[in-house]
Amino acid sequence: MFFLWLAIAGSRAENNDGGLQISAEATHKINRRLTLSVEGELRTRNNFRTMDRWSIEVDGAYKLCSHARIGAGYTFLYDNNIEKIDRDDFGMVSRWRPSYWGVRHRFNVSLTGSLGLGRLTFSLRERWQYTYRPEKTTDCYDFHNDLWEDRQIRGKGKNLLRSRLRVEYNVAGSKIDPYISSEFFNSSHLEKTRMIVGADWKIIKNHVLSVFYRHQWVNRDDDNEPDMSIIGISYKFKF
Amino acid sequence: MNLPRYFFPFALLSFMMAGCINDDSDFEDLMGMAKEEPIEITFHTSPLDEDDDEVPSPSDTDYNDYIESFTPSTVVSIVYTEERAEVSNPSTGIAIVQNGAHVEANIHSKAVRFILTGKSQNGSLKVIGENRFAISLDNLSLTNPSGAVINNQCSKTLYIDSEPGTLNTLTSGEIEASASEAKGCLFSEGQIAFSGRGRLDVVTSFRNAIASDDYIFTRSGCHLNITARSGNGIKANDGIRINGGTIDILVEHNGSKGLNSESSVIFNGGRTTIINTATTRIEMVEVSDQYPDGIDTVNSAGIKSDGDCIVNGGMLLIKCTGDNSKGINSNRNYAQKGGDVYIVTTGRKELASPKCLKTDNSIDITGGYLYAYSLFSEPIDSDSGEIGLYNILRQTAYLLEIGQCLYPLAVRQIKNPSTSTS
Repeated sequence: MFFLWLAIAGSRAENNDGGLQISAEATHKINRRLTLSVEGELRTRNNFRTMDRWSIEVDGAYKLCSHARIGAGYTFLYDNNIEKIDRDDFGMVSRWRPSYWGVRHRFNVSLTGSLGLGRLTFSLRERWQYTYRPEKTTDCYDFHNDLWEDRQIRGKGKNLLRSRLRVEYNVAGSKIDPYISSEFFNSSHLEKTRMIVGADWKIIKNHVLSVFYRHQWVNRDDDNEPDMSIIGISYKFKF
Repeated sequence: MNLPRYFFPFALLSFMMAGCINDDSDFEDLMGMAKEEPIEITFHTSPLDEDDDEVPSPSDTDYNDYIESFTPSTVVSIVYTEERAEVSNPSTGIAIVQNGAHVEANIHSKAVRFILTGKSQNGSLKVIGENRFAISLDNLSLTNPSGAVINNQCSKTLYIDSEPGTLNTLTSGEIEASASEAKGCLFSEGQIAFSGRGRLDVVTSFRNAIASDDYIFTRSGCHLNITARSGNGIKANDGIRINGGTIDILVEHNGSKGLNSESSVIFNGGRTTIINTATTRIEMVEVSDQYPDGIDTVNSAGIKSDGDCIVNGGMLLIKCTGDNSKGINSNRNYAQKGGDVYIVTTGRKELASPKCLKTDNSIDITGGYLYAYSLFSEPIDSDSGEIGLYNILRQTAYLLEIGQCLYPLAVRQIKNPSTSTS
């Protein structure tokens, strides 16, 4: 399945963008069931050359049993929204709204079930996510009138259900555990799909470095996002 | 191993590599680009040197639009002087009522021809009848300070024939007579067919300059010079057909149009120049779902047609300088198969887009030449998005030049009004 997805990604490579995702996460175990974590993340786009997003996330997770846990979190997102170009009937540029930075607030609640089969661990996470974008005024250039004008970006809220299936393999005698996962973003329709292949490297106790490759297919969304290939590096620290 | 010591420098380096390049498109060359000046559109004072047009055969449906199809059997002569009119009426089938220089003719005869001449600052002609008739203008200068100068209450064809080489002037004042049935300075319930190689100036401060409840037809040799201060230049319910002639229209009244047809507007020849300096007219109306604020806005235009606007030939020059004012605004289609069309709009976009050419349906240009320049909007637009253009010569955000400029001298001639276009 992974190779099939890679083939699809390759076939749509013309529309692809590439980016980097770097994150650092600190997790603290409050008690046997409850953990809290804080994560900072940055992303790039435009083939690694342009900053795309900063974010900081606070999460809590509660272990219901050995196979299930629930979680909730809040993420503050600071996005570099990609430019938007309007064209007239003849394909001429009529308006241009350059890229701009704006904030979003995201809340999520998730339920994760996991099951170990030998050295394989399967997990399924269902996450409801609500993202609110406050109203913002930004600049827009009107080529017909040759002038800059204000453009009101309306505030809006958006609900998504994210479904993620992950399979992890515990390699005997190795500190590196590979995994693959796929995730589907659904609103009233399938908005995008992600495929991830990566590995966790337990360098020393309580310190994990993850490296992954993620491909994202955008089916239909309203955020003007292209298909993306992302290389990710993640550092996790438990205390 | 102290991982943070390796991780964070790496993260910082990555951030520094990533953060500084903007991925926006580069539109620097397009922004603030100095627009070239549009061609200058002004009125020519000289008539076109047109050949006589070919009169269709009697079996042709258009035959009756030509005065050649009309053979007068009765000629009524009216000579206007300042305070009165001398009427020479040889027929008992025509009843004349006079009030100073205001003449009312009730005609029961067929094939009547009026010959109007002289000058009056307070006169008019009203005709009531059931048969087509003709009015010949022979150096007439007639002003009615309170309404229509020529008011035809007959639904048949009215032939307006300007004698060759004459200058005729019809002027309506702004005092509007109560319950006037006339919709303009020169009004006819029936169609109006213009002919003759004289010149007719129409200046109105009373509704439209020329209006018909039917259609209006011009042919080669006509010379209409219209100044509309209170309404449209030419208004027709059932269409306007320009087969030839020189038609100059200046519109100054907000919300008014140079040519306004509730049906189609068709150009087959001649040279029509429309300069509209008016902007939007704002009217207070009854509050309704359509007008929740109780305000209606009527935008001015060079040409407004509820039906198709078709250019098969001739030269059409339109300049609109008022805000929101469009060059041609058709509720249906625009089709151009020939002719040279120049449209310049320089008004700002406040309540509407001052486009040169806008239709609800399609725009289809398969021949001729079109120059469309809009200073503050896109030059042409169709609501349906159906636009067919052949041979695009130049295209920018504000200028569209299309077609084959078969007569490249035309542009220079337009820039220089002293040069006659022939």
